[in-house]
Amino acid sequence: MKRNFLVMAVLFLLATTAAFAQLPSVTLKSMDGKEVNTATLNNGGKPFIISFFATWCKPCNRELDAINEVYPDWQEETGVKVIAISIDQAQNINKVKPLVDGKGWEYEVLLDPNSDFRRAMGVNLIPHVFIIDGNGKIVESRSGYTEGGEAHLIEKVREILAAGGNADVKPACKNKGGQCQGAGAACPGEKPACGNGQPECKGGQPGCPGEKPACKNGDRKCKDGQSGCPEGKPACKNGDRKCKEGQCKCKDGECKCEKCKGQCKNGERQCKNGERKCKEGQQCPECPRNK
Amino acid sequence: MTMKHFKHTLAVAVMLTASFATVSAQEPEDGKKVTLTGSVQSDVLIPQEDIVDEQGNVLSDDPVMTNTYVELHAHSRYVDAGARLEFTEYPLPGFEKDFKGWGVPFYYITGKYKWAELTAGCYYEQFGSGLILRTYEERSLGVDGALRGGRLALKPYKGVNLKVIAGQQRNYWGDDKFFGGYNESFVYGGDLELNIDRWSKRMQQSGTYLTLGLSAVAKHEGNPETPILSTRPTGNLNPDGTPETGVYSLNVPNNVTAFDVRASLQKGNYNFLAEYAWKSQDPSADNAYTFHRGNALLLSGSYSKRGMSVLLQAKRSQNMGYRSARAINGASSYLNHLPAFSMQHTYTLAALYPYATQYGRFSSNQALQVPGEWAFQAEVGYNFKRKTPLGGKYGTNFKVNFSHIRSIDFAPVAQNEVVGTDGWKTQVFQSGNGFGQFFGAGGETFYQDVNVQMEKKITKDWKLNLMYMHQRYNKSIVEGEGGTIKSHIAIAEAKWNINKKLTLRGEAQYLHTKQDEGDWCFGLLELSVLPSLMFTVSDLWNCGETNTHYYMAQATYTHKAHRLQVGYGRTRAGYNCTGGVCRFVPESKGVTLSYNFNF
Repeated sequence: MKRNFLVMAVLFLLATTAAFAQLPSVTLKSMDGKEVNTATLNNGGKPFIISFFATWCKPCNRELDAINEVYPDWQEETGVKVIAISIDQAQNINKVKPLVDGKGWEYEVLLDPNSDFRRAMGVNLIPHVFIIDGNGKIVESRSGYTEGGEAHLIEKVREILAAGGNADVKPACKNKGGQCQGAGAACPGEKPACGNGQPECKGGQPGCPGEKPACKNGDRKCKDGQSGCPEGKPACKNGDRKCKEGQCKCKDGECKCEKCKGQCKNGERQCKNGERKCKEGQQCPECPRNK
Repeated sequence: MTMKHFKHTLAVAVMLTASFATVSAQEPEDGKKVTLTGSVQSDVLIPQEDIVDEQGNVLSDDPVMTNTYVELHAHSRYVDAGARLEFTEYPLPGFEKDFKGWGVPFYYITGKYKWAELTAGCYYEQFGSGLILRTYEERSLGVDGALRGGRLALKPYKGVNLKVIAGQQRNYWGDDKFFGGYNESFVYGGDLELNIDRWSKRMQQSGTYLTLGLSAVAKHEGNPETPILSTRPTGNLNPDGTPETGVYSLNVPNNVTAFDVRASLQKGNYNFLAEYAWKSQDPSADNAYTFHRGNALLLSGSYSKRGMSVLLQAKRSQNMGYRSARAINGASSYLNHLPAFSMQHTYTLAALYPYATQYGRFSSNQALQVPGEWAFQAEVGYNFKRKTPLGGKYGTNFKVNFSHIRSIDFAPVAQNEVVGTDGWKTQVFQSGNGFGQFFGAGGETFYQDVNVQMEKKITKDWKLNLMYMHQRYNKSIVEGEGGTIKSHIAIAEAKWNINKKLTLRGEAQYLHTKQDEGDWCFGLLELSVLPSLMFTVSDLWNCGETNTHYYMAQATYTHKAHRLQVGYGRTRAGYNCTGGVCRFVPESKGVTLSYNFNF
């Protein structure tokens, strides 16, 4: 008996130090039959909403209908995405697509027929919604639907975006160690802070106003092979951004230039020596170089 | 209250107050991330009088009843672990006797590495559509079919999913066991699923998805404690010339195996599923220890695109109740699960006579023998677009659903000779009459339901839902007696957005029948006050014969991840969809309290 109470006490002490979590990893299928791992759910760095529903749950359908009416506005303003998870049992799973299509819902719908994801998220009653910020962290969790409650969801999403996509980090002022009032506000006398709290961009951080977005390696210029450089087409190893005209590959053959349409080096469809013909749009694998 | 009562309620109080403690958003170091999630669910009933059954026998005289569940899970990159605490020592009314108890019956630890995942402890698993294996938890029904043992899930190559399980199945609490009671039999199983479309670029380009699956489950159970006896002729003659009879003990198979094959094809707007499962000889209390094999066939096809959908489904099941303990009756210990093949209704009067799948049952009353069932379901949905004549200003949504469940064709058997035999003689098609007899003219209808629903937004602030349903419910087959109940049901639901903060929703329902207790009426009003309050009043009354009122008043408060609902009233058993949530609630009268927290 004493041991049992000790077990319970430990469980509850742990409960008091709980942190809001990342998404657990469960394999679900989309309505098309594609497999999706829930740990990889994301919205390209923007916040998104997960909503648990079932075809027979009327409050769930009311909530998703209400969101559907304002969804285009939400998306235009914030880019938020709604992922609806159906917990209908396997023998009723064929009713989900007809319901979604019939109501014209534009959400991404995933199927959870044995409630694996529902259990992993600790959901007991549906409807239940989670708001996930740009870093994949669960920011809010709500069960039940009150008419008009979807307005609260979009407000929370706006808050997250104003805080730079990361619900936790408040921008700090560089000189004081004090905090800016309100998410995203600039400390007086300083340039607005970036998402990482510093007024300067560190590598990969969203653009500081007035500055060009930094590249991954911390420089403003693209170094070889770096992705995400806003101006840079994929760089060739030789340091040029473009392919030299007429080349199918870069000089030292290391990367492919996208614009190369397979013309030979001299720009003509036929190679100069007349030996190989390039058909339009095809790569010339062995077009002689400077004949 | 006795001392034991006091200790237990103190424990619950400690649990609940501890869970109100700060949930601080600590940010663990990246890479060593261990996050905790969990939930608290507590339903409390303070009944006004002792809970009695229909005959007046007292089922429970506890002053406070509660079902409380607390779950805690820890996640990290390679390891997950968790446990659930259940406190059902004074359970809510309507649960089976063995449901009473408390402890930590569910616990597990899972290791994940690349494409493999290994679980030791308790888990839930489903193969395919659940025809041979579906273990799940449904708290409102008191069902917990968790398996305790080991589970291995592998994805060795793209498109290939392999699962292997072994364990024992949960059966309430056993003999005062804090860590849950588990049946002695062992269950083993494997499931292989191939997503063919992952290997074919052509399929991927044309948007075709093909999945094939194959699964097998075996249950090993020792011999029964008391032998199962059957009286039959020995083959000798008595001195007076009559055949001699002797008492034989049944040779019950220790291993029962079941297999399932399935194929599912999705292409564009079309979706097809075919699945067949069969089970070896499984004499059990459910089928009066007969040796007929079981089988189930499931076919489903649907076409849906934006604004229109058609769905057709058929299922035939026979003797497919597959349990992890052969001598058990009641709701626990099912390894598989066949949910009712009719539309799941949530309007109160539409769900007044809900159908439950007939797995197969013997009875001395030949009219009640059920070897299995044929079930059909068809559904058509259509959305009239806005600004069309039928659509109106905002569009109108129509849905028609038809479901029909009947007995399979069989010849009834007399009671006193069935133990140890093959059971019924059954056929898929009635012999000699070909396709015309497909629907089994000789069989009995278990359930039939035709319903039409219309959903329409009338103005910016008003929305209307209408439903008409005609239902045939065979109470004798489903509940044991009562004949067939034919009823007409009409339902109207309206929602009015009064202003930005207030919304009022109302329901009026009417059920007309000449059988059972006659007509029923139902009314409901629900006021939502943003951001977090909801008030509901409802009354279900028998306006036909008894004039009994089942009234209810509830208030719900939501704040972030907390949800508290307080109510007073009298509930008839059934589905209750108010307060923004749907749940199954057994009959009771008194003060109810429901708390949910998720972190």
